[in-house]
Amino acid sequence: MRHIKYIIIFYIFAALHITGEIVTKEDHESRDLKEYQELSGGENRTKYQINARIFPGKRELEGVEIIRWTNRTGIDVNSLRLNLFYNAFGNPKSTFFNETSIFKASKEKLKEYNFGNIEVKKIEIINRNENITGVLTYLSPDDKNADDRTNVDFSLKKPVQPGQTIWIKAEFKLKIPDIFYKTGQSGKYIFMAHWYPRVCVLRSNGEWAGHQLHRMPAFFSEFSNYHVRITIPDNFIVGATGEKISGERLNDKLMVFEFTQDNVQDFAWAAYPNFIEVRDKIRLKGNDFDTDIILLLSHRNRSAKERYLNIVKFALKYFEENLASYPYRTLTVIDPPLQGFNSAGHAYPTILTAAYLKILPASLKYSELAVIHGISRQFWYGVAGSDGFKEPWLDEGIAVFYEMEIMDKYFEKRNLLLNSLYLRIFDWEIKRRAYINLSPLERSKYLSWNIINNKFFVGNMYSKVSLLLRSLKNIIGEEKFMGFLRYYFDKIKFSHHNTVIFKSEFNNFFNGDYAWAFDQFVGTDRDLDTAVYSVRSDRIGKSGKYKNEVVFVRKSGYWPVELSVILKGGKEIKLFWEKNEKWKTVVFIDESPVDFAIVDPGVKILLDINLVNNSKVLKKENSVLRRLAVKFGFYFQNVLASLIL
Amino acid sequence: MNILKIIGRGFNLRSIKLAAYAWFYNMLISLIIYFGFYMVFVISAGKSMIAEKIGMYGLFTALLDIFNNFPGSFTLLVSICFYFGILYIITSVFISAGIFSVMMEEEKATFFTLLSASIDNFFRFLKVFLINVINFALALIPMAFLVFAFWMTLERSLNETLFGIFIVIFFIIAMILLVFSVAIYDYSRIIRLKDGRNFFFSFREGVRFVFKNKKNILLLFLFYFISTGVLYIIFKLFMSVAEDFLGMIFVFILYQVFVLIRYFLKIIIINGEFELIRVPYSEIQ
Repeated sequence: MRHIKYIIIFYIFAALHITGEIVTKEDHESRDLKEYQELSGGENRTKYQINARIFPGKRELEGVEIIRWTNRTGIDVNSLRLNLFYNAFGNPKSTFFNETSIFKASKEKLKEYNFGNIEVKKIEIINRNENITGVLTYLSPDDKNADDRTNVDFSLKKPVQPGQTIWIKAEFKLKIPDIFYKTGQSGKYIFMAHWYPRVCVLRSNGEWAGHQLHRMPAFFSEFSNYHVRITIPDNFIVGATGEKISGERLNDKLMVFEFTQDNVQDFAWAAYPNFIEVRDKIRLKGNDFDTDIILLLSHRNRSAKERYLNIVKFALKYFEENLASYPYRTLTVIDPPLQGFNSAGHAYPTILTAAYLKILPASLKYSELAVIHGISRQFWYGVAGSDGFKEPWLDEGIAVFYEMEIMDKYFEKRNLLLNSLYLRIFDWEIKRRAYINLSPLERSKYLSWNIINNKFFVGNMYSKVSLLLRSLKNIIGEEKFMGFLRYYFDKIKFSHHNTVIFKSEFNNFFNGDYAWAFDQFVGTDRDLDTAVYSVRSDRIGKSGKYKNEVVFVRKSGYWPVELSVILKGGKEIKLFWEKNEKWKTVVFIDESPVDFAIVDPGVKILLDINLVNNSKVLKKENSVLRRLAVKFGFYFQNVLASLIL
Repeated sequence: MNILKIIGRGFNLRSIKLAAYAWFYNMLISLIIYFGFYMVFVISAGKSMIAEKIGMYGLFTALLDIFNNFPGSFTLLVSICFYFGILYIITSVFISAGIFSVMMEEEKATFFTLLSASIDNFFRFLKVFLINVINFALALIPMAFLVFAFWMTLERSLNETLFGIFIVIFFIIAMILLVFSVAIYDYSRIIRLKDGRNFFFSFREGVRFVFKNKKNILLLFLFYFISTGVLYIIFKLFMSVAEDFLGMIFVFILYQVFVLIRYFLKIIIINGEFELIRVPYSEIQ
């Protein structure tokens, strides 16, 4: 029965492989960065003006938005594609809930969960006097799920021609769900993401890149300008994307907050009566303005203030030195209360949700990790946009790479995720574990919604990619590598890039072909394993010399790697194995026999899935293993001694 | 009765000998586990230098790769530890039969005296152990109920601080329940030795005695917890510095000294329990 399950999974992956190939070729039609930049912004950037009135008691929101949208392609557009992501929380058969399997696992949860949805009550093209409310079709381009209502197409009476601008007015109503993932309301805490009808990205070939909302984090949207007014009961404190330009009292019960932000891909906000607002400023190089750090702390987490502010400033400074100065005037950090913890650890433009639990020991650095990851995502997703559905490695993978670098620097020398008297685990070790624990069937190609669950997604997109980048950094050199990322980021900021562009720029910058690295390990099921196959020393007659032979093997994958052969007496022979061959035999004569041989003595290549075979000794002396066994045996002895006598 | 005096009476050579007897069986069973771990590491690591390079890779990564290299090894080790743990529980009945008997009869604490007392009293103690399974189960029920009640409350709670309070309350209640259930077990055994009547009687009287002497028993065990905690901290601090410099044999010996001291502290508590019951038991008759 178990085998049948694996066979079915294999065929599904095989089918997805074929599908992935077709989609991948279509997606990579744009190899021209300039084209992407023209599509992404400039004066014709999409503009959202939203008036929202929230009723926390009824868990409803009513909104009116006006969208100015321009057809920046050279092709007529006959329909308008919008994302209505809130409908993902509208029924248990939506693609989102199907992918979580939560309701399949627990019927209790199905009864208890407060679903939400978004209803577009009226939508019209106001500069054409065209009401398009009824002419809609729900589409499920990703998985053909007819029960999913997150992607909608509105037919237009006449096409929008190249260069034409339309003004869309949409009246919508939200029913706010429980916070299961990212967005919703729990008690009085509200986090609103994916909450308004949003125009999908129009590709240069005139096709809409409209995706459904999936369980795995994925974003793809236009750089737009936002101006949002939120009317809310006056006891709430609000934090949002962008700058707060006003907070005025509407009447004795309501306040109106106005936020504005240009050149971002989304707008999210949070509200809670028990936030404590803490403000600080930071001036970054290259900016002629201060960036406001707005920390909205849950009122029971006052003690986390310094911890948050320290890591935010450190991360921003790090990015200033190693990538670019954070380009916005505000960064809002939301510290969700316990009941809203499902919204923790997410990032939207200029706003991120952190994670802090008082009961966790300070030796566990999860809070720092969440903030660093959120700030990394501000750059890789927020400023460097990409199709996160098709190529999640470009935002998640690179963001996690920076996360590891910053953790490394912040905690000095080793990026300690867990540092206590009993156990020390480093961030990269956790990432590596997630990657090497994937079986060959679990390694995946690009498509994020086809990655079956969180374990696979994290292993493939977060871990494998970040380890690849760190390994590349280790062999190229930190200064040069970070220099490339600085250069590349400057080139593609505020636009969308893709794998083709990244690879091409990478190769051009380093005057070399690194296709072997990306083609092997990004969006593939390949892994890397270089090993010492055998070590041998034979005495040559009575000469007192030895014929030494060491054989290395590339068991899977290719990576140019340092090799080291250590002789008895301490002499070291260093080699660099660059040629793409399966075997390498090193034979030499010396007065000393070989002691041991090692692949990658500097531990630069973290992608190697098996470190055990990276070294081999001629004559094994097991003292260290004995010590290790004694230590673990002692733990067991202690457990026995704890039992009742 | 002054509890400190009672505890103090346990600090003698005889207690060390009794502790050594318990340690001996612990060592016998643990040697198999020591060997098991060693074999798994040697087979998994083979001729690799990964153990020697732990400083480079990190302990977590090195162990992960060692266990990954020998699929199923970790599960196998855990299973072996589990089954040997069960074996030790049965062995502890045997050990305690000897120790309790020698303490009761105030005999010389030699190995053969203890061994023969263990053999003589094993089945009696086994029956007492089995009846006390009910005792342990009864102690678990309120704990399980507490966890359930707190979980249902916390799921709906808006207050993270409640988690912390719950953990503290749960810990205190769990410790009290643990102390009483262990004390009842100990007194069941003592009374079984003192009195020829059946194990139901000894269990019932054990319960009665414990609840009549709650305060002294709690103090006795409080001493045990505090002294074990202090011992552990001192040992951990010492070993974190010394481990890198000491030879493996010396490290192993130090580990055994630690385990022996732990058993010594247990013997002091059992001795204290005997002292507590010496006078009042005449009232039971």
